[in-house]
Amino acid sequence: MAGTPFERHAIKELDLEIPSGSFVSILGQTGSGKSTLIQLIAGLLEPTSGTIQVGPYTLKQGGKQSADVRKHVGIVFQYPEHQLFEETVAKDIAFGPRNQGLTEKEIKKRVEMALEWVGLPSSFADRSPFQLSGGQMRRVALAGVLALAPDILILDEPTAGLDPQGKMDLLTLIHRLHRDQNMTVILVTHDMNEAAKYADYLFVLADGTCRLHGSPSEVFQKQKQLTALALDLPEITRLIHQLNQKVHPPIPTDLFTIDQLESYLLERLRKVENV
Amino acid sequence: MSQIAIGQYIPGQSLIHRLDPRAKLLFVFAYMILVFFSNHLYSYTFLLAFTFVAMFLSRISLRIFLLALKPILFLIGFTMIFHLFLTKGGAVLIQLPIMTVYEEGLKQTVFISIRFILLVIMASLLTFTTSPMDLTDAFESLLKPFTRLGLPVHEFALMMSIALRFIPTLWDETEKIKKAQMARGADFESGNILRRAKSYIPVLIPLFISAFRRAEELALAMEARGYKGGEGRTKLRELHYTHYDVWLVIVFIGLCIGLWLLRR
Repeated sequence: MAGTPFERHAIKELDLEIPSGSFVSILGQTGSGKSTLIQLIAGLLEPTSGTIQVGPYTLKQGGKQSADVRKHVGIVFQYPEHQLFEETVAKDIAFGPRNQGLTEKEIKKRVEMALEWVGLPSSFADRSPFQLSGGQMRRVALAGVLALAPDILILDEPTAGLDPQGKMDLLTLIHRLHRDQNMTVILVTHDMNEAAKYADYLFVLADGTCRLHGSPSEVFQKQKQLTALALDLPEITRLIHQLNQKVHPPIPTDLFTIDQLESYLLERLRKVENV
Repeated sequence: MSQIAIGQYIPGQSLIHRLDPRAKLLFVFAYMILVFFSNHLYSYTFLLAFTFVAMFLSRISLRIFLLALKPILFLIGFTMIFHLFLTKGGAVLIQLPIMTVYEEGLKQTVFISIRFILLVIMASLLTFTTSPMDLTDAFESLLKPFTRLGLPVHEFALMMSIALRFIPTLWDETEKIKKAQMARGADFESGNILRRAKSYIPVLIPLFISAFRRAEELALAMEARGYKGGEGRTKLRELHYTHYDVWLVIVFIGLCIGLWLLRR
């Protein structure tokens, strides 16, 4: 669309590095360029300028390596259950591996592996994906991507539209995959709680460029900047801030789960009692 | 959307944009009939000149009109060749061993292509300067008398506006599903036609499912808001004829007279 009135730069002057094997989260409001960024990384969009390095592959305008990159990057779009199309769960999950040209035996193994990873019993394999519940359909769609055995897994708001329990289950599952399979995970979200709890490193995008980055504790210390970008602090950080108005010495703000905060407070209480 | 196509609306404030959509619709309809009454080089020049003035008044760049003509160039070329070689009459212009080109054939070739161009440009002018909403309203309003004959005019217009409304939505959806399947290794570009058509199954099935889901949701939302068809329903935006539309009628009468004088 270059040169027309419809031209718009979704991303500009963006320079970031995601270490392999890490769990990073990309935060930002709607229209901040998150979706464009992940599609660039996944080799689904071609950059009009600049380059993207994914492992040994370089993506640039007119480059030919996007097909190679796609073999290593799995991308789960928003509402991935809308891409299901096969008659059975197993056939749908097998779509990716089959396109990779694997043998029937390997495909079968991949399907079983993916079903297990997403926590669905193997009895689901022969059911129609369209008769499952929303949460189950999403797991099947996720399994369809995981069956590619990607090195990098990109998730675009994977928990949108799920109930709180479903959200937590899904993220725990992704985190376990990251830990056990050493998968690089890029989680796009605008839920600060999810980002704080699971990611090692955060990138905050606004207007197509990276405004803030760092570990969750570093990023969430910059409350003013976050507010200026219309982003919130995680609930737990807000709670700690409120508590700190009453207690001294202040509670550290790098605690991002209720369990961490609980054990910290218990220990502190014990110390006080011992004195 | 990646390119400007025939039916695209291009917002603007020109004289043509401000005409009442009903008047425009009727005018274009009548004009298309009028084009077929033209049979002379002078009358075609007359109509061409009028069309150019209309194009100029719409303040839409010539480039966009050329883009609209592009898809039918093939059709024009095809009919041109047929007329050039198959129409007989008048003096022989070129004598080839297999076929002969007659004077009448050359004449028809030029006329037919001008006729095509006139029709497409006028139709494009209508869609370029009239929003789909206005166009459907105009349809509904003009066809209203036929309700008495049992024609479901309102439902017809509603179907039309819903279809138009969902073209961009479904287009976006297609792109999204296509990308998702591409990420799973689907290949839409290589192989023969049959293979390529088959490769679109993983896109089409989810697309149909989502279209049906959307339709169901829309129906539910409409019912929830008390929609019960066109009877007794008032409109938020009503169409009004203005003095510009009177001028359009005068222009049309002028065209008819001009054509009649040039026809003889």
